[in-house]
Formats: sequence, C-alpha cells, structure tokens
Amino acid sequence: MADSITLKFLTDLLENEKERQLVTGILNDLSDQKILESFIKNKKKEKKQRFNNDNL
Amino acid sequence: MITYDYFIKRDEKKEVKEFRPKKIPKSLPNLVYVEGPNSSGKSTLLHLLALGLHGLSGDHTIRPVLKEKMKNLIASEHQSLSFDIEITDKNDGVVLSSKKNSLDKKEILLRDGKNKIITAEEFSRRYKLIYDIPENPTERLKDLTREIKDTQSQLGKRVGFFRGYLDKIIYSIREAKNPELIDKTREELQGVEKSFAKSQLKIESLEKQLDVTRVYVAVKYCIVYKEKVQDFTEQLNLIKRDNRKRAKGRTKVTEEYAELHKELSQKIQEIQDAQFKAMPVLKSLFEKKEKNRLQVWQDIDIEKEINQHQLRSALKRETMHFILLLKRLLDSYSETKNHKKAAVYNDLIGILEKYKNLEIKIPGVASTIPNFIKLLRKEAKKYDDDLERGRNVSDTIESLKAILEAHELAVKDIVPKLKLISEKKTTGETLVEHDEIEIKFEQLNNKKNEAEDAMNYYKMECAKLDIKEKEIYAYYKKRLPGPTYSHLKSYRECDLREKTLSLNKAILDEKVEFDNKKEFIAYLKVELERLENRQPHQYQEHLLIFQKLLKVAEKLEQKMLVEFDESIKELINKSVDKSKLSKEKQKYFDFVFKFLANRIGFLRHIDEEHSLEKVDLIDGNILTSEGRVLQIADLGTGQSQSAYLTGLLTATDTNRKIIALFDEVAMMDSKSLEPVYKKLRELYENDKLLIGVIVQKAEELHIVDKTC
Repeated sequence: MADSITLKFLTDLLENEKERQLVTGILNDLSDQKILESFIKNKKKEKKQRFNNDNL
Repeated sequence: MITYDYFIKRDEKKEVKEFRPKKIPKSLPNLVYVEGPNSSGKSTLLHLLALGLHGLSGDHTIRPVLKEKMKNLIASEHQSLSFDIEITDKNDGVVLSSKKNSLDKKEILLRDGKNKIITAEEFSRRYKLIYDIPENPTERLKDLTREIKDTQSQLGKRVGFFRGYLDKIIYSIREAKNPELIDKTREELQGVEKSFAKSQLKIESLEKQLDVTRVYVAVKYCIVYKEKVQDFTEQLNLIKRDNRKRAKGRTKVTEEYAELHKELSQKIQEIQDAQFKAMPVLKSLFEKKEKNRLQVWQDIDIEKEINQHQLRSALKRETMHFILLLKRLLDSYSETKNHKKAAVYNDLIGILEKYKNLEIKIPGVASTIPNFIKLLRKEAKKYDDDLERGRNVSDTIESLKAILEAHELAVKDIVPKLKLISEKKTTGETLVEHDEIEIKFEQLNNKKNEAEDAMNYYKMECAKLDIKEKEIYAYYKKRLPGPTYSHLKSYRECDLREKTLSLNKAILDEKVEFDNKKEFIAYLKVELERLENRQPHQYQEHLLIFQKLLKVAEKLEQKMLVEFDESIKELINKSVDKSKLSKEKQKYFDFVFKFLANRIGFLRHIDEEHSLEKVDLIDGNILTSEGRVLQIADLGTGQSQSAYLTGLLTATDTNRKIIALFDEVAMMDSKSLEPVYKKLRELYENDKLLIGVIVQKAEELHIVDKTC
C-alpha cells in the first residue's frame, strides 16, 4: 500500500468517523474481512456503551 | 585510502538475505566521487563510514534524516551488521580503523594509527564529521504532491476493492435466509390475499348490480315498447277502418305546401319523441303527487294542440308546469352535501387533468397528480347515483324545453304559412299529390316497426335472463316496483343502457385485477418457499451496518478518486482559482500545505536552516515556525546548496580535521559542485580533510578520484 505517512495525513483529513476507521484499517494493512469485523466489533461496543449509559 | 568491508544479514520473513560490497570497490581514494545505480551500496557505504566514526554520538554535522537511517541500519531487529573500515593518509599510514566484529553485539571499536581506542568525545575533539544530503526543496515539493496524488488514487482504489467486497457480502446476505425478508414477503402475501378476496367480493357485487340493471331495463322497456306497439296498432287500425276519411285526405297541393306539411310532421314527431323520453323520468319523480297531470300530459293530442292552438294550450301549460317542478327539484339536489362533494371532486378532477403529465407531488397528500386524480375519481364514484339523478333532471328539463320550442315554431311559423297557402288560390303552380292520411299512416307504421324491434330486442334480453315471455308482465307489475330496483326508477332508457355498459367494463377491469392478484399470490407462495429453504448467513444480523458502511465506502471512494484527485491535480497544474474555493477545498489545501511542511521539516536558505510550518503552493510561499515567509521561487537549487555545503566546509574550526560525506547531490550540476570539490581539494592539500566522499545516483557505476 502507499506511503503510510501520506495515508495518515489523509486519515486526519477525514471528518467522518467511519471513513477514518476504514482508512485506518487499510493503513494497518487489514484484509477486507478484518476491516468488516472491526466495524461489527465497534458497533457491538457502541451498543454495550449505550446499554451501560441507559442503566446508569 | 578508504578500505572497507561489511556484512548485513536481513530477515525479510520469507527469507534471510545477506549483503556484502559487490559493485563499489572495497578500496577508494580519500577524496572520491561515486556514481552508481540504486542498490549499488552507495548510501550503505556512507552510513557505515558515519557509524564507524561515532556518527551517532559525537558533536557532528549530520542531518537528522540521515541519523535515522544510520540508527535503522544498526539498531533494527530485523537486521544485523558487522564491518571493518580502515582510513590511511596521503603517506599510506593508517589514521583510523573502525570495527564491528559481531553481528549480535552493538559495540563499535574505533582506533587511531597507534591502535589506541578513540572514544566519541576524543574523536569529536580531533575530527569534524559532516554527513549531509543536499536537498532541492522545489523538486521535493513536486515529488511530495505527486506522492499525495498517487496515495489518494491507491487508497481510492483500495476502498473500491473493499466496496466491491462489501457489495458481494450484502448480496450474499440477501440471497441467504433472511427472516426479515421472509416476514416481509409473508406480510405481502397476506395483503395480496386480502385484496384478492376483496376483489372477488367486488366482482360478485358488480355482477349482482349488472344483473339487477339488465333485468330492470329488459322487463321495463319490453312492456313500454309493447304498450307503444299496441298504441300505434290501434291508431293504424283506426285509419284503416275509416276509408272515407282516407279518400278525403287525398288532395293536390303545391310543392311548398307539401314541404311545410312535412316540416310540421317532423316537429310533431320531435315533440312526441321528447315526450316519450321525458315521461319515464317524470313518472318516477312525480307519479304519486302529479298523477292526474301526468296522465293529462301523456294523453295530449299533439297534432290537435298545434293545428287548433288558439283553442288548446294544455301542452304548453303542462310542459311549463313540469319544467318548474324539475327546476325546483334540481335546486334542492344541488343543495345536498353529497351533490356538493361530488361537484367539488369533479371540478378538481377537471383542473388536475390539465396538469397530469407534470411530475408534481400534491402537498399534504404526498401523491402525484395522476394518483390523486385516481383517488378523487374513486371518491366521486360514491356519489355517481346522486349526480346521475341530477343529470337526468337537467336532461329532462332540456327535453321539455325542446317540446316548447318545437311547439312555438310550429304554431307561430309553420301553421300560419300552411293556412295562408290553403286560403290562397293556386294560379298555374305545379301541384303534387298530397295524402295527409297516408303520410300519417306511414309515420305511425314506421314508429310501430321501431317499437316492435325494440320490444323484440328486450324480449330477447329477458330470455337471456331466464325470464319467460309470459312472466314478463308479472315481473313488471310485481317485482320492478320493489326495493331491489327502486334506485333505477329515475334512470332513462339510454342511461340504463349506459349503466349496463359501464358495469360490464368495471367487471372486466376488476377481473383483470383479480387474475393479476391470483398470479401474484402464486408467485409469492413460491418465493416464500424459496426464501424459507435458504441457509442463513453468518453476517445476517449485521446487514444494516454493512448497508450503511457501503454508503460510507462509496462516498470515500468518490472523495479519493474524484474530489481529492481533482484538487491535487489543480495544485500540480497550478490551476487553482483562489476566488472560487469551496470550504471543503480550502480545508483540503490547508491540510496539504501543513503536510508538505511536516514532510520537508527543515529547509536551508542561503546560510540558514528553517523549520517549516506551512508550504503554500497556491501563493508560492513557505511559512517558517519563526513566522518568516520565504518565496518558493527564491529557493535556489544547485547554487544555494553549493553555497551551503561550501559554507559548512569553510565554517569548520581549524583544529579539527574534516571528514565530509555528501549523499545524493543529483540536483547539483557539475558547475555548482565544482566549488565544493575545489574546497575539498584545498582542505585535503592543506591536511585539513581526512576523507571526502560524494555519492550520486546514476545509471552506471563510476568512480572518480578527486584527490588530484
């Protein structure tokens, strides 16, 4: 993949959290499946966080 | 002379690679210029010399980027290194030797000509090591912007691959067992089945309505025409019986008289037709209240009413009476809520019909014009009977007015003319045969035939409806006045025939809908079975996340391959129009400018080094951390680098011997390099320089001794 410093710069340029996560996955040389799973994991984390907040 | 050797072992995961000097000779003159292709070992030679001469620990002039590379060579986990360097002076006496014997140990031993170990501190006192890599900032900027362009493009493509992968996954989830889709399909099936049942009921109801209408029209008009046939037959018989009367009617008249008489007969016929047309409506509306007057009106002898109009005025009086009644009725109809609703709907339909081809959604109902018209029609249909009743009354008023008009014309125009001709004596005019009775006989006979045809047609209709001929009258008397047919009483013959046609069409349309629904139900059942038999997908529950992610990937791909690509191209081609910059583009450029400054880090200009904050490629200037603004165009390449390097060599204190290592001087042409060589040679000749190595990238390996 391309120069990692430049990729990092492009990541910083993105405002959308999901776009950043996607580019970070690519930056870390993750496979398509791994990137996909990172999103699933993230969603689960968000749900858990929301559940915890609701029960506080 | 510089004599060296090294061994590098690098773990590249799949294999362990070993490197030794191959292309560049292991012995080089003290002042040398080395040209060579990539991977020929030029930079490795310079890194080794700097490493072996305490380059990482003493007080020396070494660019940070080179220090990083030196550290990478000696301290990386994936590679290990050993080397042996010896430097002799002009008289071939060893001056310095540096060794790193073990691949595993980091220890480097630097000794002088007496084999005495020299520490970093001691070395710094005796030698000034200069290791530099001249840079051309403008070239570097070009490279970096192209690098951004390439990276964006690669990233965009990579995101595109990911989007493709995601697309496939989403497709396979959709193709897999999907409980949501199964539920949706099941719901759809239930909905269509419900609608199918409704359709069936609607067809049954329409068929019942059609049946009632057909029976009503067939029975009623079979009797009506039968009575007419009887009436005409009686009249014809009367004429036939009175032969004397017939002979009396036969005269010779002028052509004008014959024409006028024909016209009068037509007017009488028009009045009779209009009377026949209006009678069923008047009967249905006023049968009880106006029974006697209706009978009077029906029994009026039209011929006598016209010929003896001075004596008879029943037709005019009774017709006007009924017009008045009908008008009052019409006013009362138009005041009803249903009638008003129907009028509003029909007016709206009329207006909207003009604009039905426009793609406009009606606010408040969020419906397109054709759909809204459909909705209005459906609603208006509920008031069809009310409207029909109103229309019948209006039409009947018109029929009655036509009677008055025909009567007026006959009595005021035709009859006086006829009278005038009869009173006038004919003088030499051509006379024609005129049999008044015969004409009347013929007219009556024609009417009787027409009535017979109509009666026979309705008899056939009754037969089709399983009503035998002998039962027709009983049907007419007993069943037709009942509640089943009461709503049809106000309809005229033509309206009833129209209603039959429209019911037939509605049934056909509904049957098409019915068949479509039946087919759709069969399809949905097969589809449901197919969906239920599929295997579930491991990512089934994440479909929604993936769908959202797909949009993110599409947007990002578009951003990288189109938006950012266009922006960076504008920068490269210097075609940015600052006055038309969008916020997004401005932000992008700002990021690029800061990134470029960060990548270049430091910049030397004339004799100073600057830390960079921002490189503005649009305005063509560089902002330094100290707040200075340098113009990119002013940054000389070869010359300023030459001045800088010469400055480095000149500014050295006199007590220390110089060891000068210069890498990648490609951007400096021979003219700009000459002062550097001159200075190096001067220092070497004056014993102020121990070694000077300048390397440069080239297609072929080329070693030049610069000591002489």
